[in-house]
Amino acid sequence: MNYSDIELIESYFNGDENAFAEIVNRYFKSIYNFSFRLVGNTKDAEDITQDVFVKVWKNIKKFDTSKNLKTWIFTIARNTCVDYLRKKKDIPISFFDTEEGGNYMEDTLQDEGILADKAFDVFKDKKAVEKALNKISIIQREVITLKYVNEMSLTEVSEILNLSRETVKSHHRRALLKLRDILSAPKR
Amino acid sequence: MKENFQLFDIKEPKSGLESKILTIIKNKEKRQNQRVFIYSILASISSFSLAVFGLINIVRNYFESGLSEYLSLIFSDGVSLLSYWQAYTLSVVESLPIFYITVVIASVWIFTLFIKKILKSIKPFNYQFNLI
Repeated sequence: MNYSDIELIESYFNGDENAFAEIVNRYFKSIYNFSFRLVGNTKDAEDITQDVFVKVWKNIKKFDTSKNLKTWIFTIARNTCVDYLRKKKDIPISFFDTEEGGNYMEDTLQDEGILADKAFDVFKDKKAVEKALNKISIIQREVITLKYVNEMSLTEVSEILNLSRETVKSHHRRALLKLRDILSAPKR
Repeated sequence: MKENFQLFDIKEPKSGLESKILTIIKNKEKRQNQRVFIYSILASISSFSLAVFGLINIVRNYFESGLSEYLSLIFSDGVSLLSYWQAYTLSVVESLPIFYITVVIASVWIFTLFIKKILKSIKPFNYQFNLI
């Protein structure tokens, strides 16, 4: 029988420990894929996935059942990845600061007029797309991963990233443009 | 647009990752239960000792404060007590070992609380996660 997330949480709260195993079973692959895209290697992605579910287990009693379990778990995953990247110093101090001293947010807002939906024939080569994903900023990688790997709506993405829907939309557009630029650049 | 991104591979995690996660959680739960069990045992022993200490003092006070004499009046001179019931009640209340009674009630309450915790922490010791 296919239980909803809320039914599983309620069963777990009522003492059914297997309900928690089902939650892990339902989300561990998505969390692994999300973490993998952010940290870039399988070993760390596995460690992060483990950490995420330990955190979920520790905090599940505090979970507000009126909220969405999926976005809650992904928020934990996102924070765990950010902590991990901060420890590795792979991430600028502000999430929006670029390594060149610019600001993604400002860049994004300036680019409102650009339609990213155009000219995406370049997204053909799986490996190239995967490689290009590692070349864009963390926040853009998060948006693209959540939207296209984890198949979430922009509203869900904005909930996880704690940003407005409009900002996420801008990051999304900007990320696609950047990916297109990387993929269409002549190969050396 | 989305079709373009079907190109993203869904990475399969190493086999056994799920059971590894569940084992880690199970072990953490076990350790947590063991900690709760030990603290609860210590707390219940302490609260039981406190309850016994309180009870001993209640019994001692019962004889030392003259409460026993007051209470025996009920059987020996119950009729005259009815006319002096207010003064009698006040004397009985005054001679009650309120402090020790409070100690006993509180420690019995704490004792039952920790016994419940002990029983709860024993239960999942042999628990196995089974996927639905």
